Amino acid sequence: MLLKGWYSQNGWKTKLILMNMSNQPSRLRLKLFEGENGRVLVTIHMKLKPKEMRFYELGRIKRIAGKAGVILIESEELIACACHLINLEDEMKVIDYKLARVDMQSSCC
Amino acid sequence: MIKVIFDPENDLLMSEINGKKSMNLKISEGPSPLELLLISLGACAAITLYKSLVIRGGKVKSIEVTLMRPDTVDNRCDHVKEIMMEYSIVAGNITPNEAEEIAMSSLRNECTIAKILAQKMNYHLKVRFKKA
Repeated sequence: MLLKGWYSQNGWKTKLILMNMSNQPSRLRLKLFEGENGRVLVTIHMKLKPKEMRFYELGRIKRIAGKAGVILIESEELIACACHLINLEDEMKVIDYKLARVDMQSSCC
Repeated sequence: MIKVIFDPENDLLMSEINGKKSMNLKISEGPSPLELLLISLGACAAITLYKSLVIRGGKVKSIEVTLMRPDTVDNRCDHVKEIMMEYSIVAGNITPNEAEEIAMSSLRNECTIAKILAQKMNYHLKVRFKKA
């Protein structure tokens, strides 16, 4: 499955909350893009155990410091991902959202 | 509805989709029905792969699919049990490993024509990747 969302390390800090909803381990590939249509800045590979929940601070990735853009998560199994953004100037400003599932369009036929 | 009309006198194969003429082929000059099937497979595979790459953020410049029949005996249609497919992909924002992985999965799980033919044929896939 494929999930799509938006991260920002530009005036904000972003934390991902990843949950493996299945009873099988799942390999994940996270891709962080520069803006909406830019290049891939970072690709992260991770593996979640069955039903595992993991918090991932994007602040630990130096290559995306000061950047914002699309985040794509590809997973073998059913997962859910929430994104928690906190404004750096005013920590009372918080955005929480769930990454949307992107469905593969039908084939050519 | 698709209608196929064969006119032996004029050596012509015509097809209509929902009553509209879509294609006229001279049998002696044009592709054979088996070649048309392979063209369909290649076209479907290329379009499906393009969609799969784009949805994952890939910037695709071109996809070329080459199809070969290694097991054809005397060019007989009924001996096609294997298809060698070679993808040449020129794309950005994607790694060669990723492109290969996506090509395999799009052919197995998403390409309509490949899924239909998979009941009778095996595919051998090779992916060549060039960064755009």
